[in-house]
Amino acid sequence: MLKLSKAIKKILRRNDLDQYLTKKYLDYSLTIFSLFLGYYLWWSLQDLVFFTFIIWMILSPVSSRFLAKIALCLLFFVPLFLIVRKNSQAEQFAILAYYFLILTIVVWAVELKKDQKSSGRKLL
Amino acid sequence: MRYEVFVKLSKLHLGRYLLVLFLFLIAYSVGRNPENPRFAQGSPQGEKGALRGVGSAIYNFPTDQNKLELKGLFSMKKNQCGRLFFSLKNISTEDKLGTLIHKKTRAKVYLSDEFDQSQEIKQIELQDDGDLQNNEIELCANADYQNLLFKKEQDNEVGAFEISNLVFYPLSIKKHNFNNLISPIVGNTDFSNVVYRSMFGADDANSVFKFTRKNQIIGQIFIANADSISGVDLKLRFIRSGGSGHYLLDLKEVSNRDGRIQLVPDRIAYYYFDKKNIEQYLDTEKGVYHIPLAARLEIGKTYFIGINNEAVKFNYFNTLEIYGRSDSSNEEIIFSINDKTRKKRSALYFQVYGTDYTRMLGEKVLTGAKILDNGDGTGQYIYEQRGEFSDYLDLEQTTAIENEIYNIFYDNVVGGVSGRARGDNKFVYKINTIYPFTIMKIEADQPGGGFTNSLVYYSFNNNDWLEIQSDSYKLVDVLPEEENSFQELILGDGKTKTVYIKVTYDKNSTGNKNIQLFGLRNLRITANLNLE
Repeated sequence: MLKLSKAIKKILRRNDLDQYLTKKYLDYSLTIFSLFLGYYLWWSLQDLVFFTFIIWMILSPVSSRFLAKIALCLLFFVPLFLIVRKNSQAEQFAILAYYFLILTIVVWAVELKKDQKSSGRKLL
Repeated sequence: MRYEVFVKLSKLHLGRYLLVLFLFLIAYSVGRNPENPRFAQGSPQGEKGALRGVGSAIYNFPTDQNKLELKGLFSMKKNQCGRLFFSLKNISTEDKLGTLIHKKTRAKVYLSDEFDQSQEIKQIELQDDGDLQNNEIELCANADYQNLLFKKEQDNEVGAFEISNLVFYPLSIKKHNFNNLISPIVGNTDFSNVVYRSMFGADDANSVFKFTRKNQIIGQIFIANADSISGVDLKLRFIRSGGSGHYLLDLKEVSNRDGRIQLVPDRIAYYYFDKKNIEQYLDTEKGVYHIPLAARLEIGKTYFIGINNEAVKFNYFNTLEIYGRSDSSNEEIIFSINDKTRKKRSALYFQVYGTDYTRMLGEKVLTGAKILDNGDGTGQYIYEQRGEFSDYLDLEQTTAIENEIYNIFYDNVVGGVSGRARGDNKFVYKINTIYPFTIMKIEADQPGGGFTNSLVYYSFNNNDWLEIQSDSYKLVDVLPEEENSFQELILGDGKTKTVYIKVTYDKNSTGNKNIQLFGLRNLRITANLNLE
């Protein structure tokens, strides 16, 4: 036990952690962890993918336009599924589209706030 | 640590990582899927009986215990004699490699009291299989006893078993002399004879057929070579939780129109199961499950047995696999998705079991029925519905409309026999006491709730019927549960041995009930017999 703690201290002192503590590694680890968490909590595939997407989106932000495009794509499939009488799939796509619309608005609000800040700085 | 880690993290947008961490915490604390059995509350000990719909208790003798004392089962006085009946079933236990196996177990059975006084009454030996072993002990007590004690012979015995159908019947004789007694007649129906089996064993069933679509059915057709079946063996594997909800094992008739196989929509018999109850109660070994499926068949006719996932919420990680062989050229697997059926040259591993009744003077003795000599020229007849598939197979007659023999079926949800409330549907039990009875008591319950009201009749000749009124007609103030109970006392004429019990439905009640089914459960017949 003593040996182990000494080894850890040595590594920390040598700053070996630096090479692993990059944004890339950390983001990958957290995204994979979110997959494991959803799997452990026995979420459906749809919920699991959506949750992982949110985590990835927080770590590597995308524009509100991109999210809005996804929402529109999903909405486009809803009437198609309804035409071929796949009601349950249509319902799932509609729910996903709704989630993405909410995300779009949240991200858009964040972007707006950032824009206001940067334009305020410019004015100053 | 010199805080470099935190400094670096703050450079990497600390706020974002904190938000992610916060989301993980929220997901972990409130995001548990309540439908997953892993996160459900553990079931209490008594649930096992309730799940099976059995009134009598089932006791587990676990592997880590050396003795099990069942307290207050009876009250035996010194020199009193009686008969004790119980069934034992070897439960599989894990070996060092984690494989489930049955271990041969030896134990002794004692009568015991609260002061550690005991009397050995039998030595038992359980073989290394999962077969039910019925035991009968004739005994006379050498002191006052109230308890029954099971003790493993060796302290290091690791086997585990299940004790069920435990009943004690006192005898009128006071001394230990059983020589003149008539041997008990017990309806030990054999449900283990195989009437149909796939052309390969469970070990060779290595091809996987997986449920990946909603409303999917995977099954196989077979030609009946017996007039009744009691169960089916299938090799299954649940992936993780297997999904939430209950899979449905279906038995259907098959119609062949111009070479196209079609499944008749009505079910002949069915059995609902999920991972939890099938692994707890129906697991045999090597992933093979014995699922009860009681039905009467027509010999030579083609039937379909398959699993349906219409009531299961599942995903790719939580589903069910059925095993078979994909290189079987003689047999065909039937796949159906949303009522579109297709065939594939493959075979599922399955075995179908029939039913062999104990017979006495040419008459069938119903499953679990007992005819016992009291020792004084009188006897007892006892029959109880067990809440199992055998209740259906014990039926003498089922009437159905348009020759559809499957309007009456074993209902594992109700734990009894149910029928569709349409036409002249009815079912009839034939009770043959072998010896003439002096008095007979009939007790039964109907499912109640949304079920259509049942009408229960009895007859001595299967023709002239007398109605047994439900308790609600007899009592002025009744509790809700009493509305669903039937009870009747019948006096014998010293010659009669046979009584028919017919169950049908009240046609006037179909309009105000939302379940168009009627049924009977907890049927119990007791009779005093004249053995002289």
